[in-house]
Amino acid sequence: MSSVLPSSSLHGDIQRLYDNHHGWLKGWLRRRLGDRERAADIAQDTFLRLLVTRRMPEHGEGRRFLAQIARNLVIDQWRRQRIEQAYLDSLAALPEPETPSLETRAMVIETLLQIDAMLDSMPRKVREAFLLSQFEGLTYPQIAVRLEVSVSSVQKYMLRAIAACYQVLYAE
Amino acid sequence: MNATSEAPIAPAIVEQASHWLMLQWGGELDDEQQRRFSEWYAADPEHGRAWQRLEHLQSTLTGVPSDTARAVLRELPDARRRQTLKLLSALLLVSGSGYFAQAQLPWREAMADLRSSTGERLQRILADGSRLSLNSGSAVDILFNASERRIRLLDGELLLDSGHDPAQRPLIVETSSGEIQALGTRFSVYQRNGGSQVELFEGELELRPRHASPVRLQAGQSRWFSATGFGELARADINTVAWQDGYLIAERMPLGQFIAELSRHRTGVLRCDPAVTNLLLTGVFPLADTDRVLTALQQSLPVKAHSMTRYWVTVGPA
Repeated sequence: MSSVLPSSSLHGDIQRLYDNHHGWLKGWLRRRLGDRERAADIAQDTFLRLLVTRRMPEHGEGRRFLAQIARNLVIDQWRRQRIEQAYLDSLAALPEPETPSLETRAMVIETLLQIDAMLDSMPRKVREAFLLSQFEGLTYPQIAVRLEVSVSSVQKYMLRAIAACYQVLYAE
Repeated sequence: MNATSEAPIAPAIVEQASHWLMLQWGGELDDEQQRRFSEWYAADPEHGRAWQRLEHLQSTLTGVPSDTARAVLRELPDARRRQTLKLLSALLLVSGSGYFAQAQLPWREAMADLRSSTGERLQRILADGSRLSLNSGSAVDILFNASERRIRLLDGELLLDSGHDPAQRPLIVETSSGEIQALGTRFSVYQRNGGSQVELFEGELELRPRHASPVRLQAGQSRWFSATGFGELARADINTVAWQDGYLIAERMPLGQFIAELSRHRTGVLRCDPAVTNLLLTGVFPLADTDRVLTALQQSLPVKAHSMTRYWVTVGPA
């Protein structure tokens, strides 16, 4: 569906894609999102993403390709909002309002997003085992009891969890 | 990550390093293991590089206080994750719909009634490109005129993927509870418990009860409302519209609720014995063949379907 191009021909191709489809993409997003400004932002980001990744659609696949990138951007934003909101909620629930600095918050949110992406790529049991081990401090035998599986299964789950994390951080 | 550490590492080496990390997470290594780990680490600079990456992973995981991580990540349960995935696939379908819509016959009637019988699910492309799906046993009036696009839900449940109207007429779903104004959206409405259950997957909605002030709903939220007020704000559950694809999806759903859902798709009476109504059920079930679903139930839960006739079935203890 796409191919990586040398940068010489890339800009011309992006320009053409932009001329042909930018208006359409903006309209498509506006209908989906119900928000003109956000639609314009995401349409812009979509083309930016093309420039950065240097991937171009096959002939005739332009709109489908752009829509897919835009869709991913929307979902990234959506996930980010969810995480931010949940994080702010958790701050509000603190016994005394010891609010972290904006920088700290931004870093924590970035990290939470990474961890969330890791969790997203794990099958359910693997994720459960991983959460129990890393955030609840349970031992493998305790996890085995909780999940009603053998300890060696827990070890296998953890290996898969590590592989999933590695993929998120170092996808090659 | 610095520049020197960016080159890919052989998967086999990453796997070995992962194995060591897994063992360390499981508890202190004993002396023998510790010795073997040191040997492995020193044997090849690539081993050291792989281990560095996993240490970076560990610092990422500990970069968030664990009570924060628990609060935030635990608070995002499976359902929500699945929802993200489903949203992905929903949007994928939507992004394709622009192409496919043209291939289908547009539904040009300016005003029409549409009704699905029990066990039947319908999908129509409306004149403005909106895609309307009706669940089993549902009925709508479609009232499009020069100033508005109005869909009156008379019974049952609909899923609407709103299209772009060149004339920019507002799109309104009317129920016995009030009106729902769509702002570029995908959402479902289900008439139940004397009100309207609204699940919003994309865009924004305004809920306007007949006798209460309007409230806005954002993407990912769901809310029940009646003519006079609102239920609690909740998360939209994409599983509730799996009927559109011909499935009933249960995630730890109480059997009583499952049977109530299933009975919407089956002619006759389908009841659940109170003795088994709280058994939990997980699975994806085809709506096209409810007999098969009942058979599957009996294989996965300690229940039995007692049928007086095909049209009167009670699910009770085995």
